[in-house]
Amino acid sequence: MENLSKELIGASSIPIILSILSKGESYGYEIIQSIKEISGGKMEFGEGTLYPVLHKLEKKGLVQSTWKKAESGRKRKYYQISNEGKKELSVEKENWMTINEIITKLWKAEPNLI
Amino acid sequence: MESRAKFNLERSIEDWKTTLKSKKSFSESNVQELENHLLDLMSDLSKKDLTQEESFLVARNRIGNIDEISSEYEKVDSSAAFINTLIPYLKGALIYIAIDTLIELLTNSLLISSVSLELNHSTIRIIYLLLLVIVPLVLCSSVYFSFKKGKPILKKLINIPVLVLIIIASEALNGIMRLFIIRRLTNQIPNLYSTIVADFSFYKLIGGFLLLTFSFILFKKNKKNNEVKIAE
Repeated sequence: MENLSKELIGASSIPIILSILSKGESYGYEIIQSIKEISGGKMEFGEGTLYPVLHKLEKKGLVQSTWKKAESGRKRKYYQISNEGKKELSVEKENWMTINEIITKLWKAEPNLI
Repeated sequence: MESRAKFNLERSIEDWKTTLKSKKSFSESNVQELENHLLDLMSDLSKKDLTQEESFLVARNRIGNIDEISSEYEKVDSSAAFINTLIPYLKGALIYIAIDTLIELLTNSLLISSVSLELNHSTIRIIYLLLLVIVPLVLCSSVYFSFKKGKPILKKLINIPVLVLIIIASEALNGIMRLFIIRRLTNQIPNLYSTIVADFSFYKLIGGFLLLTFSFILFKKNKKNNEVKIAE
C-alpha cells in the first residue's frame, strides 16, 4: 500500500494530533515518531506540517504549551491538550465516524468499488 | 578530501540557525523548537552508526527546505512575519526620539546647573556645543563597534522596552526641568536661554540634514550593490 496523500494527512492532522495529546503531553519530535509508529510508517508528518499545525491549535486554545527542561538539559516545548481541545476532539471523532459510516455503507452496497 | 576542514558541529548548527533567524516568519522560540528537533533527530541517527557530520546532514535534510517550512509557518501566523518586519522601523523611530529627548535633557540640566555654578555664558555655550557633538558621536560609535564585535549589551539597550523607558523617564525629567526653567530661570538668564534654545533648534536642523544625507548615501550604496550588470 502506498503512503497516504498530503491532502489526506492535512485533513486528518488535527484529530490525530489531538488524539495523541489526549494520552498525555508530548513534544514535536515525539509526536512525529508516534504517528509513524501507529500508522506502521504509512503516515509521515513533516516538520513543516506538524509545527505550524501545533501552533495553529495553540492559537485557537485547543492545546497549551510549556517549556520544560528535558533529561538532556535542553529546554523543550511540551504540548498539552486543553479542555477546549478535548471538546473539539469529540466533535472530530463524531465527524470522522460519520464519514467512516458513509464510506462503509457505500462500499457494502457496491462491493465491486473496492 | 584530506585537505577538507574538520567538521565543526556547533558551527554548523549555528549557521543553520542563522538561516532560520533570517526568515521573518520564525520567532526565537520557533528557532529553538526546530533546533531541539534537529538535535533529537541527530541523536536517533547517531545510534545507527552515523558519524556526527552525517547525522547532522541527514537530520538537516530531513527537516527540509527552510524556505518551504518558513512559508508553512507564515500561513499559520502571518502576523509574526509582519511584526518582525515592522520592528526595525519602530526601533529606528524610537532611537531618534530617545536621542532627541536625551539631548533636551542635557540642555535643560546644563541651563539649570549654569545658574548654580555661576559659569560665564560663553563658557556654557562652548560646553553645550561640545556636548552636543561628543554625546551623539560616542553613542553612535559605541553602537557601531559593539555591532561589529557582536556584543549583546548594546543590543539589549536597543530593545523596545528599554528605549520606551528611556524616553518616558527623560521626558518626565524634561517636563519638570522645563517648568523650573520657565518659572525661575528665564528671568535670570534671558539671553543665555534664548541662545541655547536657538543653538538647540539649529543643532536639530543639522542633525536632520546629516540623517538625510546618511540615508541617501546608504540608499545609493545599496542600489549599487543590488544592481545586476549584464555584459554587452
